[in-house]
Amino acid sequence: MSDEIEDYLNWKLAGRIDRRDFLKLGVSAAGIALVAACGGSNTVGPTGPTGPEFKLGVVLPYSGVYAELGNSITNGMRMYFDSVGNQAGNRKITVVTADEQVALADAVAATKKVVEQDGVDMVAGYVSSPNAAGNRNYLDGLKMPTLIANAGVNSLSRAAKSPFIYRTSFSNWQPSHPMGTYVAEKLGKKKIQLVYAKYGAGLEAVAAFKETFTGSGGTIVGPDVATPFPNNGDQTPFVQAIQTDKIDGIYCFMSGTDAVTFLKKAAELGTLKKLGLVSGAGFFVEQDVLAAITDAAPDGAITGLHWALPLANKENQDFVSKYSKKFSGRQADVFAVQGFDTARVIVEALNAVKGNTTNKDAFMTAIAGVSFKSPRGDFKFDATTNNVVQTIYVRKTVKDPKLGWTNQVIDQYPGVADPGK
Amino acid sequence: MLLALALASIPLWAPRFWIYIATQALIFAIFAMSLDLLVGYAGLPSFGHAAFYGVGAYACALLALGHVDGLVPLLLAGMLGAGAAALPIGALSLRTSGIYFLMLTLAFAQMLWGLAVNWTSLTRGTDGLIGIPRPALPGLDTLNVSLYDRGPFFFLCLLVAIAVFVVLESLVRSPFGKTLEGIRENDRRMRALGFPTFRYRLAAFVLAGMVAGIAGSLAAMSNGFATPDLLYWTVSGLALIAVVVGGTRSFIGPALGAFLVLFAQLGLSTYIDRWELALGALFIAFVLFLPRGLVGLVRRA
Amino acid sequence: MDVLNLAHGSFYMIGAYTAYTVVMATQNFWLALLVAPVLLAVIGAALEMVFFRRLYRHGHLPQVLMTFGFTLVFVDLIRSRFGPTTRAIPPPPGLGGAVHLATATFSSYSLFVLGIAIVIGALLVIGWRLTRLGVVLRAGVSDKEMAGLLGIDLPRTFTFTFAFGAALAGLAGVIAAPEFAIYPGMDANVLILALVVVVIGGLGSIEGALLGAAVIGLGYVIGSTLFPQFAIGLIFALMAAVLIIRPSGLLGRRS
Repeated sequence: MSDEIEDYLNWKLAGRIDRRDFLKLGVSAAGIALVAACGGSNTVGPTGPTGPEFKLGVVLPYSGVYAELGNSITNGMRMYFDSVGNQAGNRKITVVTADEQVALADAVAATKKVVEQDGVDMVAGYVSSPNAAGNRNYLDGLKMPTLIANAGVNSLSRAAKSPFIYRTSFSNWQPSHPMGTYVAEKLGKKKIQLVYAKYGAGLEAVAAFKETFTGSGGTIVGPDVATPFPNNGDQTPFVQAIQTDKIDGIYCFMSGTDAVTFLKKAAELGTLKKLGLVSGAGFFVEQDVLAAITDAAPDGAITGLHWALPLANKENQDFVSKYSKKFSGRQADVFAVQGFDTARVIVEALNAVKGNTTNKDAFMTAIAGVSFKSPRGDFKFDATTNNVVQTIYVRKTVKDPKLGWTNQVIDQYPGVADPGK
Repeated sequence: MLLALALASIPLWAPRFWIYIATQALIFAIFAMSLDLLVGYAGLPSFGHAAFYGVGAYACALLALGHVDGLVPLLLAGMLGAGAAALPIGALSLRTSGIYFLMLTLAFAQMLWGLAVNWTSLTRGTDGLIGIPRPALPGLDTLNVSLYDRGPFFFLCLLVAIAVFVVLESLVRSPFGKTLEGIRENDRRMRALGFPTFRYRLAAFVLAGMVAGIAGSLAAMSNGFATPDLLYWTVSGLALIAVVVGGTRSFIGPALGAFLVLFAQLGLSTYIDRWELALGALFIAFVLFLPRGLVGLVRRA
Repeated sequence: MDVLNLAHGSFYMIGAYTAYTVVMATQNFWLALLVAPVLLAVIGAALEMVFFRRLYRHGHLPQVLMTFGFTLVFVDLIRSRFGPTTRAIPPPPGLGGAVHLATATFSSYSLFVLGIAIVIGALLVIGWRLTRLGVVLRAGVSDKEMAGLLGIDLPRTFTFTFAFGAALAGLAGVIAAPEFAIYPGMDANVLILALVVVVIGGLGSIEGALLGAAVIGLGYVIGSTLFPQFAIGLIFALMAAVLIIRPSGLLGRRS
């Protein structure tokens, strides 16, 4: 237990430093970066960056049901910023955080606070889709460069996209769309029942799956098992609504606490064992869920996501081990990767414009042009949707002797781009 | 009076962000005042008042998105929509009293919340209705006054808040108000005196709902969205807290309470990491040291 | 006691986190069943003597404010101690499987919970009806002044009752821990349900609370099957229906 508390306190301490006296720390941080000199292309003079401070407003949940995601994304960002000495394009990067909480009204207040009170140059964050969508007009109207670091609502890459808002995480469509083809064609499972938490993300994800699944000759066996979101009650009736004898398997969209309670109950009732296939969007069995349920995990579940803990590329191996070292043994997760990449996009874009962000259009062009090898594989933006183009990995849930319960990559769909026009 | 003047000067000197927060606080104050008509004067502790705030917001939002452009129709829509919801809910809830009343109002609010989440064709579910336009001000736009600017919108909310305050104050001083207080103190005696006590209470309930609906309309215009969160029990709870913090049986108290709660939440969450702990401690301290609320403090002084 | 304690859900949450801590440290779920009620009884008694005692004469509204303040304090303390992560513990050994009865399948742990709930419920009813403490409490609830005149030490009785209530909430938290997930915020969900149950049954009636729980439990399961999206709404509709027909709950006394 104690290492976790320490980890948490460290994190919180860092947060406070950011808010209050980052300036005082700036010089020493740059100094440390010099010593660390991690082989980047940035040349830092002995006195650190001389340009004006670059203020980044981070709006993420630090209380309420999504606090865990907010923490992971923030950790990922901090890790990347630290790795470049918290500076880019000759500007020192200062992070100002504000608590997104849960409700839109609070997220709006948090956004206005960083923009108007702190006068930030850029905004990044948003875990919940309604909160990202609800702030869209305000940010777009101000021409505020913005990176969405989690919220997956499809419309932000489609009808509601903005030239000033790019997304580094995923659209809800992305992880599920290739899975329909995979389940029907590669696995040959043709009768699938849909199981999902009934809210925006769940609906968009299963719709994307259904499109390719039925397109590849599969049949959705009804009725869908749609749980309330969030489901604070007993999951038994929903688990028992799975028609094990009529289907080849299920495709599932749930995350966090809902996934934990659902999988636990399904394991206890023996439902998981009776299913030929448990498949879904990767959040269903992401590391946070697996850590909680341990041996109730659905052995052999096949899920799609833009990352996996054991992903073999060098960037990921580096990321996972450094993350764990930096945050006292905490395991990296997909949200931390999203935070890490978000920070990297900011740094690379700042370097590309040499720290000049007064020309917003030029800065956005620089953001659009950022591409690199991320822990999740090749990362670049789609000029049409302003959304990330990325590999979707097909993963199998296994108990790894070293990593414990995790998701082994068994196949991949490179360059998956949201179909927005 | 002084307070109103002090408030009115806010757009002249305050930074843009604080004008926004003060606007939110004013809207919340209107909502809290409407709740105190129930809690303080009628002795009806509603834990579901957000229902009318939310219905008002949705009514205004749907109309505004349906290209109704006019301040008065939009405010009326919120008011009447909320009143229409308050009538049956009040009629049923008022069969009970005390904690039962509290829970029954909560139940209706939560059912309406469920409706807002699930009736996706009308409300767009948890995503909510977004991009709600603010009405134009005919005649004033030639003077370059638009509700899209924070100053004018703040003044609008201030005007509505003052109007609501004046109406509610005169209401509780009227024979209607005195009767309501009589009913709170002793329902049986008032009935014996020939007052239709149920109808008085229902009238108060619907009236409070309508005022909450006005606050909801303003919230929809101010935020530009209407989401199910607005009807959730935490919103009812926050309003109840504003009333208790400010002090019941006055309208200035809940209004001050609304400002205090909103500013405390925002201020603490901005500068303190464990802000929920600090806010909780603040509430506990309030009950221990100011059991009669801010108004008690003023009265003692 | 006629106290509206919104922090009761926090006691349940602390109970669940106690279970998590004990199970992680000792792998012994049964130990948690002992530790949590004792811990919560101490917390409950302390809160009653230091804080809530001052509130009885002020009516419900200050109680709402203060106990809501405590829910914020507790949830933040839990979050700072355990982090925001969702935790889970497995059912105790031997109760991790499923049981087939006729055509239905239940998880063994759910049946265990059912059994333990029946036992606790029965003990409560017996205690409430037959023991001296029960008599004293019932007297205190129905008429504080009269009970005081009869020489009952009300402050001590109330402290004890409050501590006992907190201990029961903690026990419920332990029992719930393997069945549900453990996370900051679990307190609010259970609080609302508990209030609904108590109100449906009728305040000041242990039998009423048991009946209310049965009604809500059945209602929720049937609701989940028939209208999954609206199961929680159905519970509130059920409560509304009961209160409209019987304004003081199923077994509550008419005022």
